[in-house]
Amino acid sequence: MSPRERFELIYSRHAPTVKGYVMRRAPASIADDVVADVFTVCWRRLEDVPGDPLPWLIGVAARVLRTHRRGETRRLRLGARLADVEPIAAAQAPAIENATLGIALERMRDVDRELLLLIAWDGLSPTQAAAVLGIAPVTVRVRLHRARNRLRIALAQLHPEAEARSELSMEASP
Amino acid sequence: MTSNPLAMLAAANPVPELPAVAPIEGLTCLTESPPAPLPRHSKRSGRIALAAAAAVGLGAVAAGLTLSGGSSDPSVGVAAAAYAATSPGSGVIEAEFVIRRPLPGLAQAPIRHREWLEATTGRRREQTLSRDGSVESELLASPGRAEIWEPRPPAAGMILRFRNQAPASEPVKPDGLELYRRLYEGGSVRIVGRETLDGRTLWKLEGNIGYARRRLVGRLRPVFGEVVLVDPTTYLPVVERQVDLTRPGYPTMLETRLVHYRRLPRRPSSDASLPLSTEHRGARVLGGNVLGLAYQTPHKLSPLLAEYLHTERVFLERGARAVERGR
Repeated sequence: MSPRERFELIYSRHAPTVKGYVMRRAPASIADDVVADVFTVCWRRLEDVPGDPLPWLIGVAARVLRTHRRGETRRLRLGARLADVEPIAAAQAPAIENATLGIALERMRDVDRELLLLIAWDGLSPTQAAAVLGIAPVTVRVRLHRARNRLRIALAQLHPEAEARSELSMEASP
Repeated sequence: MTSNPLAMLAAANPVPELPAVAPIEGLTCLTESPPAPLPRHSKRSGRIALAAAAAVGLGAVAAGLTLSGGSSDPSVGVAAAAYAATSPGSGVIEAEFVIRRPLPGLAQAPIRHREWLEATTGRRREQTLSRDGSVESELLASPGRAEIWEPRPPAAGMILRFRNQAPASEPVKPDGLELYRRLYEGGSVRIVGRETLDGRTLWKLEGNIGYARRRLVGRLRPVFGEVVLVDPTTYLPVVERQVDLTRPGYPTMLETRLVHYRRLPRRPSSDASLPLSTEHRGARVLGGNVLGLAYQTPHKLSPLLAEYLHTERVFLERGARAVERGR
């Protein structure tokens, strides 16, 4: 299989999953750009892409997203300086409709949250999630068990608080 | 409710279905060139890579760059190196470009753009030269003020001087090298691959630079795209293209090629040569207090782009009225 054929195969199989990963964490408007960046890196480092490319691609997407967020901040600062370009507010990642769940996730450690999301949202296996996070599969299973428990506890603690908020917002609405 | 948090998470998935992706043909320009694998992580190549990264990092720091270092992402490396390569340091950069408008109906003789950049005072001077080398217009800009001189009517023999109320803001948008530098610095252009031009393989950076709305409260949409091809050795811009994002195929509106570039040491005489009033003795200086001014010629363009240009013309007319009031 030629490098080009391999690249096209990787793209056709995994580009939608990578785009889905990006769209869950960043504004949809930048998803295509980030996917293009990921596959630019993929092409340049095709020899380094492992047999199961998905965790590797997700890892690259995470780094590209971090770079993009830094660039976005710089761009907004630049936009404010330019005389003829209207400053544009930073686009937001899609919000989680379940407010309680959103708060519980925000309160979790980054590594625990990312592990849960990789499995529950992106459909990765624990072994693939381990490759994305750069830790051993055995460690991931332990962390996953703990993260699930932490989320369950956080949800149980937040549930009354969320209900109270919901009541308040209903009272405030006309 | 909280018995199975993973099931709850899965139910709250904001993108439950796999999204459609752009066809791979969009990456054809990438796959036309062979893969360029990064160096292996042997001890020796690691040291070389570290030294190279340190050199780029030092250049970036010397240029006052805000890009964060240490990333292995190619967009950061190329943009940072391109920024550092176009830094005037404590001196002055002199550059000259040839500008073409390849859009049908806009065919005209290529014009030359010459500029000088001085970082110490934030000044830049730009000249537009006609085919015979005579100056068609001249601009001097620095934070908070700008001066424009043109030899032809209606402003012949005049220097239009604009001053902003906010001293740090700019009355005239940057062009040429200064524009590229801000795009590199602001992360507005990112690497998308490589392009072969006249037998040379160049880095290709792209980004959106102009936005417009269809309605007053509508969503901002990109209307201008910027493409910069960068020399992989010197990191100087080779070609810059402004493309119309509102038309199929994104046709090029302006293509600019760098034909001359050099760094000049800063001399006391450069201070004297930068103000236009000293260059054009006897010219009448007209002052105004304007918020913005932009040069754009109305073209036969798409409605969205025309609307964007109309906004710019409003700025221009506002500037002209302010000048009238100041006379």
